[in-house]
Amino acid sequence: MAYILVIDDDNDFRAVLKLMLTRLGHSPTLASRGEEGLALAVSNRYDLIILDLMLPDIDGYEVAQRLRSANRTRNLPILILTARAQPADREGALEAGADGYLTKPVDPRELAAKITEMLSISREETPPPTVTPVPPPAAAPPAAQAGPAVVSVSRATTSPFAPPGPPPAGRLVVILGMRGGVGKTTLAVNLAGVLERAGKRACLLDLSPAGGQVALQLRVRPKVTWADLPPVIDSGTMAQAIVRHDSGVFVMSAPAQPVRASLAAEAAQAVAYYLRKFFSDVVVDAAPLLDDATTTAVGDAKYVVVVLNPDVGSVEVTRNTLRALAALQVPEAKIKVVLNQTAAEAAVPMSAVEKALGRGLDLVVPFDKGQATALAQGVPLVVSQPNAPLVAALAGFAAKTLL
Amino acid sequence: MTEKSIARSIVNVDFFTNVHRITCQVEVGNTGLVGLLNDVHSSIFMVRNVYVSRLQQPARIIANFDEASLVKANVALGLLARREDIGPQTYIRVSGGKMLTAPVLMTTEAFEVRGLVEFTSRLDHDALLVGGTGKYAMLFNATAIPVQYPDTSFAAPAMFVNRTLATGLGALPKGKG
Repeated sequence: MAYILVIDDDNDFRAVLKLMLTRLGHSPTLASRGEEGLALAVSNRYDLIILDLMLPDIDGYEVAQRLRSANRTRNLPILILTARAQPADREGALEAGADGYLTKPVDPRELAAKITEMLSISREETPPPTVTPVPPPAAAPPAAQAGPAVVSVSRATTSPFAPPGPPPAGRLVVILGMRGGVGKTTLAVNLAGVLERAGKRACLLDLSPAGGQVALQLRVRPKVTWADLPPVIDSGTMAQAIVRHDSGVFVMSAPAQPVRASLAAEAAQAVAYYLRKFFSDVVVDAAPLLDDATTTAVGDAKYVVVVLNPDVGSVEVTRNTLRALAALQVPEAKIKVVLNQTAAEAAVPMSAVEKALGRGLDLVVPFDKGQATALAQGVPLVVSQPNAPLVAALAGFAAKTLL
Repeated sequence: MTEKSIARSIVNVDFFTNVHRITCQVEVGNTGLVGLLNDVHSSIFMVRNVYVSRLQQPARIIANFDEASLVKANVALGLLARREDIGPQTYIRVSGGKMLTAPVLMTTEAFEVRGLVEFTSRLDHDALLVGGTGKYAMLFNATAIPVQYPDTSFAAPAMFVNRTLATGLGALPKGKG
């Protein structure tokens, strides 16, 4: 049995929903106004909130935002159930912090299935971090629709992606490491967590075609990844591919099994556009190669963080990476070089690393023995040990560059 | 004397004027929403549970009312989440023949609407724009883009378009609806 709070001003609908939820074995509490619902949510324990967007006092967007900003309710799954069925409404709900989205009139079986799905996902992953899906689109746009807000990402097309509007305000931070084992994914995951903890709305984008490393570290099992995006994507299809980790960080995963092709440049541009629209900060765990997706992300990035280890091979690869970035005309000012000490003892001293690279290091992440446990347990350090040396180093870096 | 029964039902509709989005409920009778909107004997209609947004911020609710009146002449579009909410088939289809569809672009001063029109024999632009007495034409699987805010779009399985506000109608190649 789950405790479910229903916030909806429609008396008849509330009554039907109460009956339905009771029959499903749950315990519903009903509220007809936003303020009333908020008061109930912060003073009681619920497993799920079903929220209407159109309420007489404060609208559902504000209710969702206030639920997300309160400590007690920040991770509570929110299912939006509304008559507003437009993409802009879904985007608004996603931005406000909703996890699911259904439109009225709703098929009772569909609603029951959605409630069960959201509750089961939430329970499966608790107390270790939970994932909840973000709103799926209730109705797909017409297949051949050519409106400017819908972006064709077909690999066959050669026309460049034309953003449907001005560049969104969200920032891309690309984490780049051309050599395996440098801890690129670990830094990406924890940096996103640090940003989320600092009050930013952060999303992780795993661009590597070599298997979903971010999903693995966070133990999320997304049903949809960027490899499953349709040829035409819009905010609705994007929302299907984003899951929310219990840390508050949103994730767009790479496919779990390695795939032959990376995301095409145009698709990467479209994905970056929408993520920057939804989130204040997008941390990209880039592929260890300068493919179309990576170079597109690098071009759009606020910062490109190049990660290396203090060993000869990693230093050599990084030196060549910096040359490649220069050849791509990436401004020096947006490149940050981060030395990640993944072992207790460094094979190459820091001064030698700097001399070899011909530049100073922007950050040195100290060896953190807790990282091995974090990887084994699937709980990132930023969640399990917020004061760990690795997290503290990233927090300092974020404070200087991003906050 | 027998009494005619009038079944009333509630339909959720997104209406659009040239500057506002009005999400509301409409109580309709036997003729459905199509009958209400195309009733030439009334120029306004009542709606309830009304939530108003501006076109440039369609997700932001700026006001709400228990009831409101809308002026048909200024309602450019009506978007339905379900095709069956339009009304009885007899009020939508002009004959019992096999229905054909064609993608069209219909323009008003404020919107570009792409969608499918249904017809029985051939696509007649004149009939679609000015034929009959009804104020509204029906487009299916339609998408409306506000001309002033082209990065926004509104889609619906069924959409009423105010013909008196239409500035043009063009048939699109198949697959471009």
